[in-house]
Amino acid sequence: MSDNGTLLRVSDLRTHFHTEDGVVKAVDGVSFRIDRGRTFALVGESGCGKSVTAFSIMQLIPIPPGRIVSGSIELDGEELLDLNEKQMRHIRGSQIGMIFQEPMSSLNPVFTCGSQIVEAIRLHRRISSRDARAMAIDLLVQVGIPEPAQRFDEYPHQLSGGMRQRVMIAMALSCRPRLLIADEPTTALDVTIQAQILELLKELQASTQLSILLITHDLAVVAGTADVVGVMYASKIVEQADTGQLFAEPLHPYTHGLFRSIPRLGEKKHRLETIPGTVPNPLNFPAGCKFHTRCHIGRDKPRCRTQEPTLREVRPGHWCACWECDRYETAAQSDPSDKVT
Amino acid sequence: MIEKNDDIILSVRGLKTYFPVRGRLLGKKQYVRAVDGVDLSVRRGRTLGLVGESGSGKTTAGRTILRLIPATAGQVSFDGQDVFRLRRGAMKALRRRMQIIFQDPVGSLNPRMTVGGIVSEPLKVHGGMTAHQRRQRVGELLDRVGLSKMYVNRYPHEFSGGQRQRIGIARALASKPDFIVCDEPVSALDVSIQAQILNLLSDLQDEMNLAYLFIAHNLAVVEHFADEVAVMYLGRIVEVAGRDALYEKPTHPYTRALLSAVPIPDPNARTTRVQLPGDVPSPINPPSGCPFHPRCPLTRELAQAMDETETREIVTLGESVRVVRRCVEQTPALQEVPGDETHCHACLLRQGNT
Amino acid sequence: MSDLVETTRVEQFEPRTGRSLWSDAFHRLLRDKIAIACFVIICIYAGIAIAAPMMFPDWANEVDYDNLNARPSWSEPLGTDGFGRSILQKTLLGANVSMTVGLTANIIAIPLGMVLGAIAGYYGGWIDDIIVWLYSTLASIPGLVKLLAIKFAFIDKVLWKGSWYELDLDGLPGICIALGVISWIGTCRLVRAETMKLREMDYVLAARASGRGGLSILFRHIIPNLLHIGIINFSLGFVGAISAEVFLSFLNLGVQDRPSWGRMISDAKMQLVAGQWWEIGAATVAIFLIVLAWNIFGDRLRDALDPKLRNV
Repeated sequence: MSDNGTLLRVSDLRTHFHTEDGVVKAVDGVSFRIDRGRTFALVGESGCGKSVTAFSIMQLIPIPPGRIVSGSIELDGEELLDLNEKQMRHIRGSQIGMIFQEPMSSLNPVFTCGSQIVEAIRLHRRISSRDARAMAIDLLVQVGIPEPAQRFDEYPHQLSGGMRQRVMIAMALSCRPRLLIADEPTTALDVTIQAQILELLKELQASTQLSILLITHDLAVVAGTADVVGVMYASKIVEQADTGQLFAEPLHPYTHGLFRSIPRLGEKKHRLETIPGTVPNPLNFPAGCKFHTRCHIGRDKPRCRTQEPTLREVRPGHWCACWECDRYETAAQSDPSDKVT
Repeated sequence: MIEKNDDIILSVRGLKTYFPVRGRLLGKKQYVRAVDGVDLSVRRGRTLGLVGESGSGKTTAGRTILRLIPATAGQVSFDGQDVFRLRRGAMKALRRRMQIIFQDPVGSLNPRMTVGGIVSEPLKVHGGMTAHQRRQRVGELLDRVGLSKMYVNRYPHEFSGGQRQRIGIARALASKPDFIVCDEPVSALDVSIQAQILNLLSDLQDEMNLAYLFIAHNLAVVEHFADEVAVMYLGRIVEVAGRDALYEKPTHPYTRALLSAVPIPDPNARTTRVQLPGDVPSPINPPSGCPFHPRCPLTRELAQAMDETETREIVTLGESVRVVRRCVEQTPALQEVPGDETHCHACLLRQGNT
Repeated sequence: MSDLVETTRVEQFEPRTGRSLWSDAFHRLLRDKIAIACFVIICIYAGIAIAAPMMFPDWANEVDYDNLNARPSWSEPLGTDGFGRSILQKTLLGANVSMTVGLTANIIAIPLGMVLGAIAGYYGGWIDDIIVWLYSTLASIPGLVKLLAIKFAFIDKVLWKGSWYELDLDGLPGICIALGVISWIGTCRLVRAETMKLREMDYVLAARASGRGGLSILFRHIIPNLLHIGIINFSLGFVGAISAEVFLSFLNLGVQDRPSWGRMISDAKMQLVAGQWWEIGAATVAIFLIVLAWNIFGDRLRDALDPKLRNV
């Protein structure tokens, strides 16, 4: 593990929310690292804590009710959790850029797209507004917006969803950050537009050595873009590996279930395999392994019901938090059925 | 093969739904052509998948068919009855047989009503049942969609998205319909829940011989679920075929682009994507001729080898492109693919003489 | 199998009957100590409003010319007024007017605003146009001018069911009616906007899809989702009504026949020059407390009741 290649290192991050109904451990001991010029994807279902992880890195968690209880977030060796708000504001934008799921609500409707990019640039750089304008138009070209000089003076509502997301990317990249956090960047977009945006992110990464933290629920998006994947379930990373390895041989029963439950192009009508039950309520996580209530292997195993497994390196570079993942293959076949009756 | 006519439960002819929009002051009244001439037919006990991007008018089409939105033109016949001409009483009776399932599991359930109240509403509206019978039926329905009977007196906000979707399905099933419009029933759900709901819908279809109009934007889900598939673009059907034919031999360039844009959950998958430039144009001012021509890769390609007189210069996304003249001037109609009557498409360049 | 898991989960951990949004809001309020405190204050005022006229029925006649404008003392904790009557009793008696005005004005205004707003929002078209025209016109006249105009317009006798009845808009009923008639506008606007939003909800569409008709959808699916607006506006409207009464009475256009806080302030405005602060002080504190309590309670009520603010 060579440290000079690592840009971001998150260790044992815990972010909790204190609500009326109790403490929600939204992120509970998450660790990962992102190398320069690489893409790390956090995959998981709604409420698994993947977005909270991203917001914790940016320190944009609303406090209260949220609180980063423990852990460390190092960007290029610098501990971000020790910084005060002013220093952190400098990091946001200039070191870490962020794009969101819904490009309409993340752009201010009363300002032109151009002026919003200019503002982002001038927040971190002392340059004249004319230079900033030139830079902004240059950015619009980079993100593939046709007729950039005209688009500069248009308002967000005049642009289509895909164009707005491009503007968001231009803004996020305006100060040449080293890390881009993309929180469900294509979820609100159509497939043809999604393909365009993912392609754009790849091109930008290749040309600027950008590191990307990709947050998504869509395994298919991950397959085409990420180098390393962490699968999150109930506030923890339950499996982590290189993309190729993870897709070739998912070890955690949850990951396995996810793969089997998505319909794929080219597969004919058949029963999909399902993961039974629903995502557990973060106020009321089951004891032991949090997945055991939905797991066809661990449901009745005493160890799974009482002891929580930790991430361990099951194969070289392939980490998994499951007591039974070594014996997984055989167990999967003996699973009787998932018929809904 | 041509099916017997009585096998078709729903047939839609020339359906148009326009919404008036206020233009500029003193300007001409403009219309959003959400649905602009759609022909469909759904067979008894089968699923027709309706695929399209946002703005293609697929949701509007589904709602117009159920007469929840007034149609501008066209005809919908449901089991021989002309839906748009029915009087109030007859329409109410027909509503028993056609139902809808919504995308948004939050907005589709009244937050002030109990689950029992929600599911029994169609039963109450149509009457003919005592309170005791209704309670029993609600219990059966909840049981059937995989929810506990205990939930009867609870409220929607106490459930997860997948469970709410099950409640919505139970409500749709209450009046024992023959046909259900499923409007993106799984796209708001988590991946692991989607499969549960899809399996449930497919079991219900087998059991009750339900016909579905399955509206979705996810081509993989549609391939998994539908028997026939129609692809919509800017309010029109551009291609319709049996599932296998459509996915194996897509003919319309839009269908091809759509299929190749679907991300594949396999990092080693080939990435020869047909990238479409730009976005879906506004349905207020759709492009002339074939509405797809400004984004169409095929017309650009063919135009290069063509004579000046047969092509035309158009400006799209700030650059000028040469496209085939016919695509700009002629509106294509759905036409059969030679040798397969069930496979129709609306691409001028692949029809007839090319 | 999924069912199996869910069923066991329900049976083990969850209660059989659910909590409606209403009872949910109620439980939130119960946990909110400040809201409870405000509610207690409001209840105390209401209690005083009912009890005071019974306890001091002869207060108006207890004139004591030996003790005019007396300072607060042990025997008269808040001093006496220009006729030597107890200010403590006067203040307590004033609660009756305030609470009556607040309650009656809102009982007129809130249902009026809700019904008109719901009808306008749900049916749209020309019905909507008429109602919007009505409240826009009314809203364009400044509130106070409107109040005065209504009071003066109806100060004479009016015809009612074939015989002449005296409708004295000069006194307490006058204030209540005038306030009720003008203060429905805010509620109506809010309810209309909310109705237009609710009308497009999927569950309304679902109800139509199962064959329910217009009016029945309005009552079953829309109005229950609007009631919280009525309740919130009721509590906030109380504040407006109390202040309006004080202002009218201050201008000598309000109640004449019994003590009210507005009249106390009006009566005492000259005494202030002489350094006699107790009458105006007592009335101000009384108004301040109830207005504060209603305002905070209204806000807390909104937090608890509004489904959009849930889970924040």
